[in-house]
Amino acid sequence: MTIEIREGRGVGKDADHIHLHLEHLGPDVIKQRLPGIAETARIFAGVDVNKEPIPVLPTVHYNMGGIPCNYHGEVVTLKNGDADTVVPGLMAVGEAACVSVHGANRLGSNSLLDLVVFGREAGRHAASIVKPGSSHRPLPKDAGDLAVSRLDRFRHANGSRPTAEIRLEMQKIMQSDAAVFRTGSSLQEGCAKLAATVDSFADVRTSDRGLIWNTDLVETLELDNLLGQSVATIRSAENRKESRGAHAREDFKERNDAEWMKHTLCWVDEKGGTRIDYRAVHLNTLTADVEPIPPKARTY
Amino acid sequence: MAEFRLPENSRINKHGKVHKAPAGATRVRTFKVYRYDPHGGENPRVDTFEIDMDNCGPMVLDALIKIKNEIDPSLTFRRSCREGICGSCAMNIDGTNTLACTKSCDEVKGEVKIYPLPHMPVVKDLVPDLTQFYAQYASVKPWLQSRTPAPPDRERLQAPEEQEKIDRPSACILCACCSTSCPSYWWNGDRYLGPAALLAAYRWIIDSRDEATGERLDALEDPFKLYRCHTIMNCTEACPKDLNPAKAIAEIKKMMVERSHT
Amino acid sequence: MSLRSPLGKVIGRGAAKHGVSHWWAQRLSAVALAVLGLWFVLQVTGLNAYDYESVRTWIGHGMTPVLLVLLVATLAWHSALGVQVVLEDYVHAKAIKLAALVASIFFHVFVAVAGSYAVLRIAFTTT
Repeated sequence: MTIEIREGRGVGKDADHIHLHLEHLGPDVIKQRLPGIAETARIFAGVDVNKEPIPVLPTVHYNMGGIPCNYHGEVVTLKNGDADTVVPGLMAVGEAACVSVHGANRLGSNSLLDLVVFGREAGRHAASIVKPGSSHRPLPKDAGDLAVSRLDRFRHANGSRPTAEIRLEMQKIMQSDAAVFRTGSSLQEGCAKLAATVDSFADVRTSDRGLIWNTDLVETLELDNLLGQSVATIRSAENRKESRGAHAREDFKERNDAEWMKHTLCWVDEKGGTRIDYRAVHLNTLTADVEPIPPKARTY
Repeated sequence: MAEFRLPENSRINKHGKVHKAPAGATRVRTFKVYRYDPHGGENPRVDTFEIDMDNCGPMVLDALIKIKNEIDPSLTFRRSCREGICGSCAMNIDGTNTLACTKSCDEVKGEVKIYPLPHMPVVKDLVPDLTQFYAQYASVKPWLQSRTPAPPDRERLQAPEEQEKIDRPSACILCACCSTSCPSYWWNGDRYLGPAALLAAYRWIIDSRDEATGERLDALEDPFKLYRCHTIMNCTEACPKDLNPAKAIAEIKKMMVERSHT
Repeated sequence: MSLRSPLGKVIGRGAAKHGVSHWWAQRLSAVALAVLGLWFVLQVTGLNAYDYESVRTWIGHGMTPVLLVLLVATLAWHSALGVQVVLEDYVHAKAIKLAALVASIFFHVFVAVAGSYAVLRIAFTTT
């Protein structure tokens, strides 16, 4: 869709979107199979899908990467050269996790499969490794300090930049420099601009000092998390000098399995600095009943 | 006896703050928003926000988010999907309960008055306490109950006509617009289950795969749980997803009378 | 302040296992009243004279007393059911609610009996 628009075949006053036609399906099929879409098109685009096309534009929709974990849902990290080192007691499932079943591009309905298969396995596995009645290790004395100090810091933040302003800046940088089609220069520029935004977060301001339903505080905590995620995303994208799945680079148009068939691991510190390493892709199957399927070039 | 005024601490005071539009704004609309600070010890107030609609999205939720981002970050409300499917942003806009994200500001004439859902305990600003509402939903046991085990090799089958019956009632997003628009729910919300919970009960009662129909109807046969409904019909009028809780309740009452009197 | 769980509070003491008979009775009596009421209005508007003797004569003859007793009883029954719902809706203070519900039943029974007695007395003393 983006290619059509970039090559000048967009519609509308600014030629910045395209039209999705459903009229040919007929009112019965639409009513039966796509009632939600018909309603959404009516409410948000003022369009009757039985008669007119819907104005559409691609947008960010899913996060393919995530917290690396094995197929039991146990989080793994790179330690002493072993990228499958289990982090005991920490598990992740769903979009937040990266088993990975999507690689660099999640196909339709695969997110549901991810949940149904690996969500179930995570639950089953958790039940099998936890012995009921066993006690926890004693916590260090300062176990909750970091969380409380973070909460306190943001609740009393009195800088010059409101949360919404920093958040919008981050959104615009990611949208312009790390969107569907990326180039080395846009990614590098994005990394630098985002670094400045992350630095400015030290100067964030919240206005609500309350302790009950303080959404100003919660949104600021979420922004802290989002900034870390954005930094990891854009730095990893800049680092990957190839195109693969949803990561489409104009300056490295081809997929390079020889050098780049590996997962990027990215650590982000409190200052927004990053460390990048890699984790191999598992190409083996778990039983002899199913042969591994070697990757092929995408031709659709 | 019946209460005709709000309790003392709930009455709106006259200390509402006014935030004027920026200079040079041409398409200005006024939003009057209910505010309540649980910490302040003060009564609720109504703040006035003047918004330049040329720099704002079309929906009421867009205006609320703009107010929170640019004018008063302490304005508190629930929101999530912004497309009318999660039910979080249910509130009373221009006198009607609806979702802020699907209510276009153009549909409102004059000042846009935004209040929390009626007759609910208010936690803060536009956030009502929905604990009782959720408990009422849970109390109708909204899951499949059957003694016949599921087939080991496939799903439980259901004819297309049977499936159609649960289509609309299943589409409820539990936004609470209907129950909080019902006068019976206002006056007897602690004992009357309300249209949303009854719609959910109906959805399981008419599911052909469910075998606890008798017990479900038994659980509703009560002068308060079901029969506080006097077909006022505010619920169907208010539903932002165009569902019909009033019809579902009427069908339940029909089933009640069919199994005992005819 | 109760620490009972929200679900526990909603379940309360469980369903009372009655309600449909009240609903049915209200509608049944409504249908009966529609018919009886129509009859009453037609009869009364069709009377030739409205002095005491003429009306007394009308009350006492033929099927009129039967239908009038049915009308009074059904009206009292329907009203009793209706007033009960109104009290349940709007009165919440337990003591007042109980007193009002009991008073309503006593009142309606009294009206039904007194009204029926009045009609029957006329009927049995009419020649």
